Amino acid sequence: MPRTKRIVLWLIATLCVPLAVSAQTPLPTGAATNPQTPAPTGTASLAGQIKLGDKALAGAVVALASAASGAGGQRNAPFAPPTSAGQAVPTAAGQAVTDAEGRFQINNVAAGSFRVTVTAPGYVLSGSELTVQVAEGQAVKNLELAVAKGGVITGKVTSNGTRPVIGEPVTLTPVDANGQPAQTRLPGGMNFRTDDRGVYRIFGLPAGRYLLSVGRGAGGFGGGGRGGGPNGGGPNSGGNAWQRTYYPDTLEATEASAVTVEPGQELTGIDLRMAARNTYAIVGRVVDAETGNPLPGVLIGHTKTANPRANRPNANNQNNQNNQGNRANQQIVVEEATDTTSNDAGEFRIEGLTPGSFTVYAARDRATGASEFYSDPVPVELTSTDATGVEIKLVRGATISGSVVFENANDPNAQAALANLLVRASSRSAGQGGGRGGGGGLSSDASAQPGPNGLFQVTGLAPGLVTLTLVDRGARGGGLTLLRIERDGADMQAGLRVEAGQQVAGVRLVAAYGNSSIRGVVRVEGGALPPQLRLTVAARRVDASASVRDRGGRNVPVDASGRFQLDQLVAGTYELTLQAQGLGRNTIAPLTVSVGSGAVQNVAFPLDLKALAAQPARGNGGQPRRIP
Amino acid sequence: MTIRVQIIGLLLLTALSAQAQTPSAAVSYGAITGRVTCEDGPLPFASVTVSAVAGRGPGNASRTVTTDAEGNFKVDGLRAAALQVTASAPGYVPESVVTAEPAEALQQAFYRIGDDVTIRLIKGGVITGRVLNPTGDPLIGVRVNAQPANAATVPLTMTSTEAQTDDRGIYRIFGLSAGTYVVVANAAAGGGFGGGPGGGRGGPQRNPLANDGPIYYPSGSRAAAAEVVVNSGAESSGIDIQYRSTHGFAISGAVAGAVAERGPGGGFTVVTLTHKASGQVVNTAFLTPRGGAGRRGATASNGPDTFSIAGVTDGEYELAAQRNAGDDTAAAAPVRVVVSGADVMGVALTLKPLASVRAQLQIESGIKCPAPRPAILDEQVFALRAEQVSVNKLLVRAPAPVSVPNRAGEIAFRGLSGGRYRLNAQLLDERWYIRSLAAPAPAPSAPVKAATSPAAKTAPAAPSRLVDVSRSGLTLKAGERLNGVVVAVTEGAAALDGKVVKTAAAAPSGPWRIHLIPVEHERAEDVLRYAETQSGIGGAFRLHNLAPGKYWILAQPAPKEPQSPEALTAFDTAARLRLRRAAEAANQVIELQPCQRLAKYELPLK
Repeated sequence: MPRTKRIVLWLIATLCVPLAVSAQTPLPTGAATNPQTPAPTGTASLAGQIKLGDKALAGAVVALASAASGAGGQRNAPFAPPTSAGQAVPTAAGQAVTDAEGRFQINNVAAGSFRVTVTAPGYVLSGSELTVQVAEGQAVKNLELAVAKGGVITGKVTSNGTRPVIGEPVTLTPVDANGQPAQTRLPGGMNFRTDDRGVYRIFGLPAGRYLLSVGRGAGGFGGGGRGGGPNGGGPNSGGNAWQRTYYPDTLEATEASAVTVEPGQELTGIDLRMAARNTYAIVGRVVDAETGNPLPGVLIGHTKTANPRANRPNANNQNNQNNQGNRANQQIVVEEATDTTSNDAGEFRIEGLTPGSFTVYAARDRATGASEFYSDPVPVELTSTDATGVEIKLVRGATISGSVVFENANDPNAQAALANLLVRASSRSAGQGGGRGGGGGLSSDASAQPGPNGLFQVTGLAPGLVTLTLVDRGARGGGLTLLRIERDGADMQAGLRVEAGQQVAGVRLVAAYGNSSIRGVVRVEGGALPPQLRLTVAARRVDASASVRDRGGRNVPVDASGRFQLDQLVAGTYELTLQAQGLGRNTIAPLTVSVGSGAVQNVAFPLDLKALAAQPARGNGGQPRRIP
Repeated sequence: MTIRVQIIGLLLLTALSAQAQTPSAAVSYGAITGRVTCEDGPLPFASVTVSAVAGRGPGNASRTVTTDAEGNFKVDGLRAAALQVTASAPGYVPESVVTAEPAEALQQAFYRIGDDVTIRLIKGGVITGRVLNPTGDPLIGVRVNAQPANAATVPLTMTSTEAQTDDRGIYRIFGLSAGTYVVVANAAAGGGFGGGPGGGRGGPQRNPLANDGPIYYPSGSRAAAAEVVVNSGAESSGIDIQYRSTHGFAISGAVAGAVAERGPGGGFTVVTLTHKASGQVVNTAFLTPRGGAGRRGATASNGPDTFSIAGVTDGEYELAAQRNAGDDTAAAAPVRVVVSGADVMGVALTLKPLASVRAQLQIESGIKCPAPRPAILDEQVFALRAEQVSVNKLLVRAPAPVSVPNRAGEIAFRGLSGGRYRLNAQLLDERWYIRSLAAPAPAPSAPVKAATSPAAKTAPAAPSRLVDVSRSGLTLKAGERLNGVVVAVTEGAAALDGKVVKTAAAAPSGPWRIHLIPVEHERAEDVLRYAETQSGIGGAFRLHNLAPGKYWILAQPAPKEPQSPEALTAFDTAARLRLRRAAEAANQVIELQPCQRLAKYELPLK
């Protein structure tokens, strides 16, 4: 990957339909890996016709969305380039395709209240939305929905009137008469970009007012992604070259004028001129803190931070490990990249940066994680000129060495797995919140691969409290448990304190590959589970020898028949917690289960819905996961 | 016929490999500068990627920059290595030569730090038209792809380009290299409906055409596809597709050996479905050890070793598979599959290891040439050029396998089909030349029984003598691991800059093929002493990395067919003899001294 950029997702969540949708209805853990959705089993049916003027519309998809869930389309969602995740299609309660006469029939519908949605690319509902209430066994007939050709906005994008700007995404934001975001529902799944002539054409639009912009967000919304073939380009293929421009030719969203699309209207000549983004460089050199000598070949990275309150979206708290915000100053990382390497004179130059607050740092090589140095990130404020004379001082760090041993030394799998293991060390100095300024400099994280005999050495550690973890990069996936961290027989799970440049030897990481299983079934009492409710079981090892807290913890989904299975567990005692969307962690009493080595333990997990109903509800949106 | 036999003593080997480490000890970091241009002049905001040929190592990550408003770029802090520089810009394609052999379509040029590179892109071609259903109404939001009509017609930098139909049914595919294409509408992968087959998470299929097979321009299956010619930068319009809903079928099966035993992550296996008559890859499925995801919409896999390719229309195909897992590369021989009105299930593909070659670079102490900086091993590129690949054609179209020596001077080539190969060097350091090329002598042909018994395979190979392979090339059996090839490199190479000068008006005009032929009779069979290149503008040519010595220099009209830069006429025995006779007759002799840089040489053309 050239110039890898990790961009905090929630800053751009407003641009991104699937994210916005998934934030409203959080997907329970395991949903992505569990494609089986229970087939609708109701006895009601709905039938009707889709009309296009006085004709019928064939090939349209008619689907039922639970009226309560609000799913089935996107509200207040601007067009955006699709992400690799694809469009988040909510589970329909039933669907059918219209025939040549525009007729549809949806069978096996469960009783309930449904919104009837129609999907036909290029068309929009011309009448009002239809919500139907069906009872068990009811046959609803002669439903009629009218659709019409959607509106079109088309124009040409050039650089200062002449050259076409090719392959740039065009984005629409619906607004109301006051310029405030509107609740217009837009079709998703289309990819609107300028072509080789600079021409774009957005279609299938409901009548309304829209703000139109071309180009990616200032943070370098590189995800424009697939679909363009070679036109799509790489992460930096001109993606940042152009300034995001709003119609009519302004860089500020506040100065943009909305365009109005009447029903079925084709709005032409919505042309834009884009200007190149002004970018600047951070220029400096890398030196040895002791000698002052230039250091060549040092990998240099940068992070850009911003105050999210300036343009905070309502959909946030994505499960994003990079999010080091929510701390003092509310500064979050909006851009992070490893850019360059210092040359023979120790000099480096990071180009293509837009103004903002940066930190630059010496980065570890991703392939090996090794460096004998650490450094503090250097803050740089970039305004309207290049920042020069930045000096990154590298300090020779402390070393931790030792061995990775497996509890069951005869396990051939364990020996084979050694080649895939990585020992990761995180150093934190006293009072440091972690990841200084989100910078991720050489101080925050170091790793080393153990040799075939299990010996490892992690170098370049900053003084402070170092915590060690084991990472399994192997294809086997899962099952690795770090049981203990010892030094001279003493328990080191709380971390090792290292002084500047200290050499710490004799650290033992004791690991095991679990071979035990717990299988269980959730026994529902006092009613039936709501069909949408997804359950998960979390397992946490609690016995005395589980010295590394929460290691061996697992979270698995409960399937449609109420069964769950935890495999590759290390023998011991586990606390099982049943979790459901919308419930607090400890709403249901946990279960304690012991399992022996190589054994399979069967358990039953009672779930009393009546008792549950007596407890106060926590809102149906579920608790967004918090970053610890 | 004399075969030069080299027996390298253990002592000598140790001494040489120790010496081999000396050049690479010098690690240097510098810059590549350059510019990207197009028909209209400099091309601003183009993306330039610099990557090391040897792949990723410490400090070797590939780097991408954007050209400035004047089309210039500079990538600094690059570790000294053989580097490849590519440029891309939306709507533009690399200016490249289309050759008959796809493996040569991508001209490989290597650079090193300090070089200044000009890359020329040209405006890509366009295919545009409409997709209409039988009633004449437009099909909206349907994906349309342009695919190379057959494996050889389009340079391999370009694989497939796609567009979606708008509300008028119009699609416009741009940024196409010149070539011959087929155009296909994939309604099953339509964007207007969200999920395709097996689509969105948890969602049922919303696309009513999700089970349709692809419809090729003008209106049928792949066999009925009409070819669309795209000229450089030109627009081919009116490519209207009459859509009709045809049921696509699924091909499914299993790949034995899809999961590699070793290596972090276990690599991946790719299953390719090729249209038999055209050789065009119509679909691919990627299998990963974790039970990977499919690609290109119409493909899904269910587990680490099973695959299912949906939406295939009636026709004759070939299914093949290749596993790439670091050292552990394997391929399955293509299996013929005929789809005729039904799904095809249970296709079994068996991966068998591919051949590999390991060679040791020996840097012999010779004459020291003056140079501004020490030679760096990472800047030397070796390539294996397939002279005859017997078993089956390479699955994944790729340029000749290249390798850069590691710190110990080892060169490794992997993923090779059985066949005959010639080792080629592109030494970026002009001080060196290849003096000899040797491989362990093949074991005397044993009775069939012994050869196939497992005991014979596992028995430790006796240290075999080395034989010269510069003329014969390396002949690999399927799955063979040929180790112990020795490449001897000596310092003191000469280089020659010159131009062809017409001395008679009647002489044909260029381009010419310039040959160097060793004069000494005892060198007549030494293929390594032959060199050739093609003349450029004004008859200029450059030959480098030449062994010092006495040569005949000969200019011959270049063949009409574009020649690969690595082509060597003298590799063929009969052609070598003809070349010598012609050179002897012309009798233009040139003597090159060690380290000599002979410039402004004029080659008279009679």
